[in-house]
Amino acid sequence: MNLRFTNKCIVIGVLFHGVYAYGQTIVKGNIVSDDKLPVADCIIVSTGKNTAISDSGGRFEIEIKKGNDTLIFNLLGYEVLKVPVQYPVSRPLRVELVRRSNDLEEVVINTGYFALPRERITGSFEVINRNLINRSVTSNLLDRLEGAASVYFDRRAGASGVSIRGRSTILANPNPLIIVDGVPYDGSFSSINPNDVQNVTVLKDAAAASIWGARAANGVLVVETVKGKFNQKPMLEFTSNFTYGSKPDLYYNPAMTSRDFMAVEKELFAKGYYNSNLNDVRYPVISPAVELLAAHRSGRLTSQDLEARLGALEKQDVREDLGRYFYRNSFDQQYSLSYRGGMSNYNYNLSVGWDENRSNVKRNSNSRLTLLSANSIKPVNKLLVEMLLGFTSGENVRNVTMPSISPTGKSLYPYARLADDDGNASVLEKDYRIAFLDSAGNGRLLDWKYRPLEELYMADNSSRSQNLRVNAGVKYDVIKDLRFEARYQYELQEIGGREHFSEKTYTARNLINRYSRISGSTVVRPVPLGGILDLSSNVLISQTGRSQLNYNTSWKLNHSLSSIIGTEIRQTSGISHNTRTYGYDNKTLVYQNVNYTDIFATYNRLNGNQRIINPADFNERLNRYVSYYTNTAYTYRDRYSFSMSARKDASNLFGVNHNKKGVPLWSAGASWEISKEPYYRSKVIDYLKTRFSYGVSGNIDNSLSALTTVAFYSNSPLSGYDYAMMRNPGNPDLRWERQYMLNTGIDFASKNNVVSGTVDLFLKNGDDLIGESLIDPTTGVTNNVGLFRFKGNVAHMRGYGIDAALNFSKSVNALKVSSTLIFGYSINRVTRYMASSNVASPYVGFGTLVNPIEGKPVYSIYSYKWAGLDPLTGDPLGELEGQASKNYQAIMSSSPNTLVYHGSAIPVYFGSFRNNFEYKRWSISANMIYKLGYYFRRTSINYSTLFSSWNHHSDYSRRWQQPGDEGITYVPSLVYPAIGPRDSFYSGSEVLVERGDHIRFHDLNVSYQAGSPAGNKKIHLYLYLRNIGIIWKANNSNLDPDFYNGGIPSSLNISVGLKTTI
Amino acid sequence: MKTNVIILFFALIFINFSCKDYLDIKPDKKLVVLSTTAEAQALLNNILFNTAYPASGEIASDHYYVKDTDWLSVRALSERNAYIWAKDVFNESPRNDWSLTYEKVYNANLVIDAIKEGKIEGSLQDRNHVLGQALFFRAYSFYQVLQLFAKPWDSKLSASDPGIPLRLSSDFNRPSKRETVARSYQQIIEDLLTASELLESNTPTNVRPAKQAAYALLSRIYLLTEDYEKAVEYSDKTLKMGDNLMDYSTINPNQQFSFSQNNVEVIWLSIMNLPQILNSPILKVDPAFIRSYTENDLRPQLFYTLNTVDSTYAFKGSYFGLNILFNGLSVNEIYFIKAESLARLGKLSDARDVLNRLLSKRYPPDTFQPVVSPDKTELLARILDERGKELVFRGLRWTDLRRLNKEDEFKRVIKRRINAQEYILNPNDNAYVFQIPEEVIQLSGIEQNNR
Repeated sequence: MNLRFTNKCIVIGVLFHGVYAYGQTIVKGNIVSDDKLPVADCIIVSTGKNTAISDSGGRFEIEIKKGNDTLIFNLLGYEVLKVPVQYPVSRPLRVELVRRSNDLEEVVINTGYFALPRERITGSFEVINRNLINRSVTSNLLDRLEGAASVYFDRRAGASGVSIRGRSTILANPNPLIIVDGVPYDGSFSSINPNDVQNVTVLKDAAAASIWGARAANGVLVVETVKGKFNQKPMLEFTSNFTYGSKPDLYYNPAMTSRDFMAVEKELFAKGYYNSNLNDVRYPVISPAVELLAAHRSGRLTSQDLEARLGALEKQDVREDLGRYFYRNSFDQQYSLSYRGGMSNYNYNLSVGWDENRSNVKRNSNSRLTLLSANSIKPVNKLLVEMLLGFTSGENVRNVTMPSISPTGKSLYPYARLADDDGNASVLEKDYRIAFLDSAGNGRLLDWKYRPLEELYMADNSSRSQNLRVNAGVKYDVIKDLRFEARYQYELQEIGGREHFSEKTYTARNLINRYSRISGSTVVRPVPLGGILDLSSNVLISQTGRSQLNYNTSWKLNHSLSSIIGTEIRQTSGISHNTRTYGYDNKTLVYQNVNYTDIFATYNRLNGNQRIINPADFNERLNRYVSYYTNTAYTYRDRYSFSMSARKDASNLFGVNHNKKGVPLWSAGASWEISKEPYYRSKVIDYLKTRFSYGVSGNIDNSLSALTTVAFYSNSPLSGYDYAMMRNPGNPDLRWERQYMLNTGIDFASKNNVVSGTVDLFLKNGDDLIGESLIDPTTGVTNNVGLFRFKGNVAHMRGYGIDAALNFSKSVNALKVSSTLIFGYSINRVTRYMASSNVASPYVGFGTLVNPIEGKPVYSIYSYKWAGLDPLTGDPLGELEGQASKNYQAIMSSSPNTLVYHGSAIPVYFGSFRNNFEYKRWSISANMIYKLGYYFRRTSINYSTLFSSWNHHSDYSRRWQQPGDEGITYVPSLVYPAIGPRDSFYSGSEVLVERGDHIRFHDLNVSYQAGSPAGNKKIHLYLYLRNIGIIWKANNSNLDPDFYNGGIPSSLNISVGLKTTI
Repeated sequence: MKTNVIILFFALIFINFSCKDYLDIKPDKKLVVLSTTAEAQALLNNILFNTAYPASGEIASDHYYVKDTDWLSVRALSERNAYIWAKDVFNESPRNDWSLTYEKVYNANLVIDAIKEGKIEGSLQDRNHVLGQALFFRAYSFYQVLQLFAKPWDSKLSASDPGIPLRLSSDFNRPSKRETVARSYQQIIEDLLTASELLESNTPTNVRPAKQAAYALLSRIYLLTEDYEKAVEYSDKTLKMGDNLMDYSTINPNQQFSFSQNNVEVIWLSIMNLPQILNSPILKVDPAFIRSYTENDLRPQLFYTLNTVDSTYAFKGSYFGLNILFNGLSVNEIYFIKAESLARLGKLSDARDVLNRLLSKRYPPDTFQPVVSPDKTELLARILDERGKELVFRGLRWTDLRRLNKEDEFKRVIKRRINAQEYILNPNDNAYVFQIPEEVIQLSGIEQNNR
């Protein structure tokens, strides 16, 4: 930072220019900041206790004593300035205030509706400034917040993403509300170029968030994009960086060896497991090893040949082929150029950004062009017109999704080959047995084989997105202190998907063949030759209009009041559709008609009788909200602040009585800046403030309705008629979720900010939370995935925790050391759950689904009690009524009290620890992320799915094989037939639960500043490493606690970049 | 200007206040609260009402076997256990024969409630058609659950034997409670009688039940509740609306599947869910059963197909036309209901006529020998024998075994052998009533069946 401003009370320039008004004691003047911007809301006090406050143009008038007087200019974030004046004054005073270099106090908190200096804030906020955002190098803004704020990132597969202060809801939308430039943002987060972001404010407590009403219960992220400033010299900023990422570690997931897998296949084959498949005229997939064994059994293969060929398969490892042919190193490029500046009545910012990311999966990539233009004009003195235009155009090429490279409904067997020794594409089993495909149709059908490597290069799947954001606002100073604001935003996001399967692709060939009928010498093809074109379109239009009155005043030095009242109306409409065209020719753009009406017998009745698949689908959604809100902040004597806010939201929630559509939400808060008390004398703590707030915010699950609703679909499979399905069982008692939050915190800073920080304690009670309960299946009520469950307001929850950020900063000669510790502690307990099950099994899982038990966290890990392995058989033993038992069914359906509770599935403690070292032109910054106090369940071998779906796991090699093994392993023996409940019991048992605690070296940034540090021209060069690795973990398995059920840890990314400012 | 701005502000507020309709719009166009007969009909077009009916009774019935190795290779424990009449069935998955059938009841009740509460707009005729279908589906579902989870009909005991929960409203807050077997059948009959009044005479597709379907199901229910006069009455009503039989001699026996789902005998189309154990090539038709068909009988070659690899027989005679098993209503079943009922009522010559009319379509015309049996028991035995040979893998066998076990002449002992262990199902064994899923017992507190 700039070291030249560390002294107090520097008067850069106070200019006296002659006498202005004879015979009056009124002094007029204007205040500007050191970057020549007008400074509003500055309090001016004369020695005679007259006070004034500057208006938005920085102008003020104040009465002074005749003769000598001194004016004191005081504004948060600026050094206090004392200016001696002598009456009469010849010209208007021109006062220049110097910004304090202190980051902590400079902050103006922006909630999206209003901005207040930090000193007057009663709520809990966190601001991530531009430097911190730009410390990371990713193309997604959200990723840059990881480790930079007390926002928790849930990286587990199937988890919900980010949360602020722990989970506040059970089944309703758990995501924080995102506000961009003052308006809720409906588009995809990835449309925002992080280089365009000025800061992100995290609103955490009720006083902060309740102004946003419904959905603020999960916290709010307020994103402010870069704007020009009035009276700012034109400035050009250019950023460019390159990121290189290594291939994913395919050997991370514990897999069975080819040898072990084939041993199982041999054993199952000997026991006749495959007989029915081998004899099945619908020709289900048979693995190569089983084909060889079958050929040997029927005498078509000698024993020697069998051994030789099985031996050859044993040596193969599909991960080698995957790594060689499907993965590559990722390479991302990012460029951003921005030009901004301003005159006295006009400012502007123009940015353009280009991102091009080459994924680590071959032929997958994405690119993004962003344009942002922000202009503010003051056509007349009291009027400010703001106009913001954002445009993002992206292309996402997704030719390969990795799980699709495997037989339908199965995992890839470990000895699969994707290419032969010469690199030619190999045939892989997909839908049917290869031996059948060899002879199907006697050559009259199209080739029916699947070769993943060829598919990789024929695939043609991409989506283009366009996002347009027009945000216009006016601010008009109606009378002194009263300002009218109106704002309108139009946001359009359009995503068009296009997937073209040429006739050569397996998808097209398979569908053509499936419906083909050979009659005599002709082939009848209801699905015509040619390609298949799938198009999808998804258009989201969101409009927000707002009108608001702001009243800002202060009187008698001691009182200042900021108040807003406003109304907002908002509509989000989503229109999407999918279509398919058969017989499509990409060269001439012609296509063929097909008969969707009649039912055709599929080839050999492999798939029974079917209509031609028509994935056409149309959706239209429309959400509307009408809101009224108000917020008032009052400060007395600069140190006592009070705030209140209230808001009422109403929406077009389906089938809810009009009065229940709306919900009033409110908050109140107070703060006290102790260090401003005259009696405050501490030599150690320079700045001390306490805060307190309480309030209510809300949340809603839009998928629910008070009325029984059904949804419509086309083409019932048997009759071909339109049909409807029950979507939502009616619930006349449906209510909004409410979240009560109590927050108390302190902010402090030691002398010279060596140590500073904020600590917040919060309590939150969630009432009427929407949850899902098991319901007597006899009622016939199902949820949207066909489980006999019912959703409603079933739970109450209580949470508490601590949020803290501690900063240390010290300069020793040219070396500046600074550290930031972010600490989050968050606990929640379900206090009432009206829908708890008296069966144990629903509670046992991976902790990614919610199955609350009263008194326990929403996300918890429960297990079946483990009583070892049966020494005679290697069967897992559980406990039933105090006895070791193999009655798995009874164990799983006994009372939930019999379960072992391990703990939270979400870290109870989390945060980051960032250290910066600056030495002359060099700086190094390293960030550690820690997650502590939680558990996870790892996967192990499941014989049922191993046999049926080839889901394999290396624990197989540690299984119980002979008496005595129970002393050295807990992996159950292989039994045939597999017993589903035995596998489920083992998968849910306590032996597979691990501690999740770990510390991760998240990233490292090394930068060098070239050019003259004092001048405006700056060149910044940096090296950035991300996902460096785990440096400590509590569990002894080789698992990364964030990636334990199928995912692969993010690979190391190395970036180099430069940022220049001219 | 100043005042104008303030007026503008308040004007904007009033715009918000004044547009109550603004919030009355549906958030999702696809979502509908049932309010017209077309919408109610759409709900009844859901294939839920035609598919996934219970197959466990069929698994536990005779006329087929599975090899040891194949039995072991069956993935679902429930299927393996149902085959050997073990106790633990339906506990693997929450979607089982109990819950899936009650899901149909709930969906039918949505329509029934909406009509009864006057929420459905449309002509009286349309409302009747919709209500008739819903009542039919509910009755059919109750019938299915009764066959698995309650004791068979007994004129003396059914008034006290525990039946099934009769959920007659879509209000899921009402607790489930088991009614008696007699009350359960009474409800089914009431629903069907009402439905038969309301339903259309003709529907555009056999997927949608018409009057004839209600009559056919009534005759099935009257037969198994031993009300033979009513059974004759309703089989007559059924046949009056269509009594065409396929002439099996005109059907090509060399097709992969012999029949089509639109064949003339189908009154109403429905299918069972397809357990792995009942699917070829695991299901092997009992060779002794196939040998019991007479020489010229056309049915074996249309129903069964020889797998030359292991010389076993698979079933290819589903009236659905695929390997999926048909369990709906068809004209041939009604002939058997009528013949059996007539025989039991002593109207032997009428019974013979009905039987012969059917059998004449099952033999080449030149080889057909009419049944002439003059003795009641012998004729009844022949009718039941032919019934068994005709209505194979239709979900009817389990019900037939249960009801015929009450008669010494017809009761059967079924044996299975798996891995050298023999399993025996004696007549009237407790295993003829399945255990209700444990989860249902836990969540509803209803009474479990004895085992």
